[in-house]
Amino acid sequence: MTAVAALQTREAYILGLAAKDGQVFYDPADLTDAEPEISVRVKAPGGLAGNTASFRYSETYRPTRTGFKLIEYAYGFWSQTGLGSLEYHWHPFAWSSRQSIFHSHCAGPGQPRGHFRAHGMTLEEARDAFRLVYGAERGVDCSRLYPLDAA
Amino acid sequence: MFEHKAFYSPAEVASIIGVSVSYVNSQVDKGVIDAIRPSPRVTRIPYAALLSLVGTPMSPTVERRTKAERARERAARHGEDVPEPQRRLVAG
Repeated sequence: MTAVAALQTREAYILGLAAKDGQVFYDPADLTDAEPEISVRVKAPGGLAGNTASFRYSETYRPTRTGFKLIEYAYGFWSQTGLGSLEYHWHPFAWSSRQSIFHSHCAGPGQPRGHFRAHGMTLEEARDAFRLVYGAERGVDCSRLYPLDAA
Repeated sequence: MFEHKAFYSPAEVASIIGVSVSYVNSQVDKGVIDAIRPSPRVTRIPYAALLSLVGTPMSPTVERRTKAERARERAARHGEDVPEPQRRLVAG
């Protein structure tokens, strides 16, 4: 399989997973980008009440001699019914000298979005975590997370 | 037709597609029917999974962004107001 085909296979795989959760919107990876991004959005339907949640899966790749290497991700869940949001990110910050940093963003019902420490997650692990929060229909609980800037 | 909502119980899905509840549960256990289990006793089948069972899955929609839009979104992530973690060792 060529490197390009591998990236397209990854995109198709994510689209397949996302389709299980609702209406999928995606921006096809642009291989003319220096660092192509797979970007998939899902709106989970809730009938007459409209969408109940949205999910976002974004992965950025850097070409290597033999293929593509994952260099950033941003996975996220947002409740549309006031239950909060949860995101797992891995990307650089202005202060990180281009080094990607694992972290999460979390907001419980009515709470501001906070920044928290996190470990590396696969897309599947993130999706499982989001679906558990979504399926439980309870507010997102950020109380067991550690602040990113804790000393 | 059936009521539109975010989740369905196995009993509701069984009633909609005309099979037994035990059959739905067995298909959930096998991973054939996509379900969420927020606790060991609770099984919820999302609307999208039900649609795929009744033969009307939602097809993906392409929403193309420009290179500039992609770059802007990425730069916004990198520029998030996230504090640098501090690791201080203080002599006792």
